[in-house]
Amino acid sequence: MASDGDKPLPDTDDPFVLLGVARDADDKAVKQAYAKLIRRFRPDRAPSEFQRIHAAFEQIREQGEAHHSRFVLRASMPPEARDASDDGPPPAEPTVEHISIAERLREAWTNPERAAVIIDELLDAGAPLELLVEGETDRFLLLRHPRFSWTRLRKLSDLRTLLAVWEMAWDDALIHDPQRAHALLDDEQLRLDAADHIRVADSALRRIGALSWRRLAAIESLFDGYRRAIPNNHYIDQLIDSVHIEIEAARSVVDLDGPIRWLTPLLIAARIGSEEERRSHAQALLAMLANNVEGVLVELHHLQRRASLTSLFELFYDYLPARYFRLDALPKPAFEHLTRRLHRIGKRAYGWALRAGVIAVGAVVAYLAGPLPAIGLVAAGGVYLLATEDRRYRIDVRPRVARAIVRCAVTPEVVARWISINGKLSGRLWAFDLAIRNDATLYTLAMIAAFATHVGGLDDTGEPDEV
Amino acid sequence: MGPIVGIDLGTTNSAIGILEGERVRFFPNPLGDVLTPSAIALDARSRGLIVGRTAKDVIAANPHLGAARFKTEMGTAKKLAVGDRMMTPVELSAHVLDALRSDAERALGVVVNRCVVTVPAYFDDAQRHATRQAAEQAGFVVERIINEPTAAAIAYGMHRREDETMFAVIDLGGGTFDACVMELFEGILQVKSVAGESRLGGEDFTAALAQYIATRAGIAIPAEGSLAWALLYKRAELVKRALTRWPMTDVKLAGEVTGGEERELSITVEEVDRVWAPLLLRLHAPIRAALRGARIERSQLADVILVGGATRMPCVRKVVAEILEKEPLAHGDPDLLVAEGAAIQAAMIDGAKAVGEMVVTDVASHSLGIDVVKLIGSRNVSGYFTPIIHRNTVIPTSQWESFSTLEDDQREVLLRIYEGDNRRVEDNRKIGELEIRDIPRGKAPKSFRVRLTYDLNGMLEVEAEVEETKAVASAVFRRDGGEVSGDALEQARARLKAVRADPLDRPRYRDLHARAKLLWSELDHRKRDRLDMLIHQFEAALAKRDPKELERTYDALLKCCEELDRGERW
Repeated sequence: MASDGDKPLPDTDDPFVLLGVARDADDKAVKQAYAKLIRRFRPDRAPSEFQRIHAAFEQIREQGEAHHSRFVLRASMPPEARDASDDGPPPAEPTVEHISIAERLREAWTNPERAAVIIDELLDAGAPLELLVEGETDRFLLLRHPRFSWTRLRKLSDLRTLLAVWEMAWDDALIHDPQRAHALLDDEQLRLDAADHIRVADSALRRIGALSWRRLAAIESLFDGYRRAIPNNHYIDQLIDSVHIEIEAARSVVDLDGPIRWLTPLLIAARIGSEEERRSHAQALLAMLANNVEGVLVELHHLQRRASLTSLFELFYDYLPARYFRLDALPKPAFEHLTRRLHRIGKRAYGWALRAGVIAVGAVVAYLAGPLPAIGLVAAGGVYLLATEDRRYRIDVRPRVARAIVRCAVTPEVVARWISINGKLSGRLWAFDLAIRNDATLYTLAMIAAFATHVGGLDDTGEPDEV
Repeated sequence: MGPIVGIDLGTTNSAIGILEGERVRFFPNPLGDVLTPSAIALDARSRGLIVGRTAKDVIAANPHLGAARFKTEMGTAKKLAVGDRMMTPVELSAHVLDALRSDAERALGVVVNRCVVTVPAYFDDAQRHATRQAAEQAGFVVERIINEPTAAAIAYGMHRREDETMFAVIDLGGGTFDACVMELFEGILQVKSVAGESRLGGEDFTAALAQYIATRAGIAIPAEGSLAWALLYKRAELVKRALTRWPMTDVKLAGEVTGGEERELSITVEEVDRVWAPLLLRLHAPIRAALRGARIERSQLADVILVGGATRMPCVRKVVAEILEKEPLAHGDPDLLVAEGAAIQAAMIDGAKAVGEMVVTDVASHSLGIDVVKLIGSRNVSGYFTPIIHRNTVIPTSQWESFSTLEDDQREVLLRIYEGDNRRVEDNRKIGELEIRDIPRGKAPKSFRVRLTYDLNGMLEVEAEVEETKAVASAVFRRDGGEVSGDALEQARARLKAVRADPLDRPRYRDLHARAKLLWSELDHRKRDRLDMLIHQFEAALAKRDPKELERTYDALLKCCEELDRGERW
């Protein structure tokens, strides 16, 4: 102890040597070493030693974190993007195409005034974004290219790539050129870009009357990306703060406990297609549901004992007038029309509800559904969500009930037709991408995607295996 | 060297304590409470100053006779009226601190002149400096100024030294709001980030509620500083407290407030929650900023600690739970947790065994930097703030940045050092200046390095080195006021004593007298007679100094007061 206590701090810049831990030491070992050292060199008694120890500790931890977050980011990229890089040739044997891209990129970085043109050419020639990013590039230059403007990104995968670029650019700067990194922090243009992106997101937020919490999550993840890319920048922090408050406010409207979650798809569904189409589809769906009532009723048995179906339906009805405007800002005549119709259907559905509870609610949703058979999925999806996520009715049998309903609605025919309309269904992420392009239907598509995976009738190639 | 005490100098209440063994012992004031309201009033009879609960009552009945909530004015040049005297927030705080000290001395029987004082984490340099000055005026040697949430975390971590955890401290006091993220491992308590607002607290909630009650009663909102406002404010405070327990409460408004008949209203939790919604919304940004500063997700937090009396409000708890997605737990008394932590920190400085192995690291709560000129387009725009020490950097710290001259043959640069987190310097607070001279002639840019060193005591050292000549210019902004000599302490004490009413001069009587007078102002004029008579008798006994008579009238008056306010002090 005595010899240990007298030992001066090693004179080194290597954080691992300073803390006296192995390079592959785990978090716990690093913490222990750090704790032991700063007990000897306390911040109040040995400020300069403490600073060095703390800096080393932060350095080691940050390396761990950077590694971790990059991994997460990569893992959360859509399969296509991931495949593109994973399936590509290993770095040891680049193809001719890759070499030429790399050469053009190098040309771009040495020729800043030509850079924009070169990037354009490369992108036009179909060079994948991933490659541009992974190459030996000045990523900040890339970020300033108009192609990378958030407003022009239409795919979630591109958005993710952009965020990845931000992060990598920041890593580059920090590791290779800290001076420059700090200069970049002060780069007015770059800040403005970031600010613009955030503003776009902000206005998008206001524009979309119907917010879905999934969309909020998407926007939040965008902010998180910025936060990671430009840490400790008070200007961006301020902007993000203001938007966050908006999001929180929006979230408090959207993320209410209860039926609001399935009202959202309902409202979206109600706006799609002509009345004729909606009715015919809804009737078909009702018939489909009715055929399976017996099976579902068995499952509903438990439900009936715990939550009054009447109150369930009333709840649904109560929410409508108050929340409706805020959620969707639909023109008033349309709203009244819908309310009247809901009332009418409601009465009918009420009768149903007494007999078949949740199915009837699903039927109301289905009645309003649009021309696409997929909307049937949405209706079922609402019920499914209600069943699995609504904390107010924490009932174990719900998931099973919902799955039963989903099975009624999601017949192979429905799926097959949906596929024939859209050509391809490669799982959840694809639906998300589509959603980004089609703005307000994000929720709808997210639902579909959820079923694509949950129902189990689909694989990633989009072929229903039970057809 | 005497013992080191820990002091929580709060907006509403203050407390003082010392670590004895494993536990913190709080020193009660002459009225027997460990919480002393941070209020100063002029005693009309002795023309001396009184501190604490009695002063609070005096102010409520005679707003011009005293001052409270002066902590929110710390660091400003504002003067507050206490009777005919104009006093600075520093002087007022010094009186509170001095009163606390005499409580400690009375209990310990030794001279107490070393302390650890807490400040809101979001206090800036000027506010911290003012706090230090106040303590020095009260005759203390300030061993350390620590942040309130850090203190609370120390109190929390003291008995959990074996744990490895990450937690948030949400400190909503009377007038300030702090949000902090802390990490505890291997007996090391690390503050990871701090954010807050130095002008948001329980008192704002009370004020908003008071205004709302006035609106509900259909009366004009009384001017601040008027008797009507003071009485209304007291009522609002009681309503606020009642609503932490009940969904609905009744409030009686005195004729003095309504300007006519006595009125009674029912106030429900739902309506006050609406009134408070804008205030509650202001909790969001700092909490989020703290999470962001710590670079963690809320799911990584294992615990949420609530500190400060205002966190007793259910709506505050609810909002915190919503933002952090975690139900906050009560750890000890939210009013005393900070003082407890301060006392533990004091023991750490003293090298006490019970805390020997614990180490606490804190962060800078604001960025420190200089103003720079930026080239935007082809224009030079001045007045941009460039941080050198970023906020949430662990202190002590020393950081440098490179800058360069703007003009050819520029020989001098005037560095202005600022504290804050706004892009433009005019929105930040200036700390000082440093001139760099004798930069060699030649074409711009000539670069120089600026190094800022910030230590645990808030001392800031600035050093600038011209790269070509290696010439160094430096300045130290010592905000701690330097070493205080024993004589100076004595003088400081004597100065305070001179203007203070003796705290031991029958505090019980004085307190009851103030309480009775306050109740009198609140009573309907038709019901005042009996109280009026009892006060008169009591005052007569005070004048005659007849102990027997005094006790008798005291008891009678006390009984009457208890009946009137149902023992509910505010």
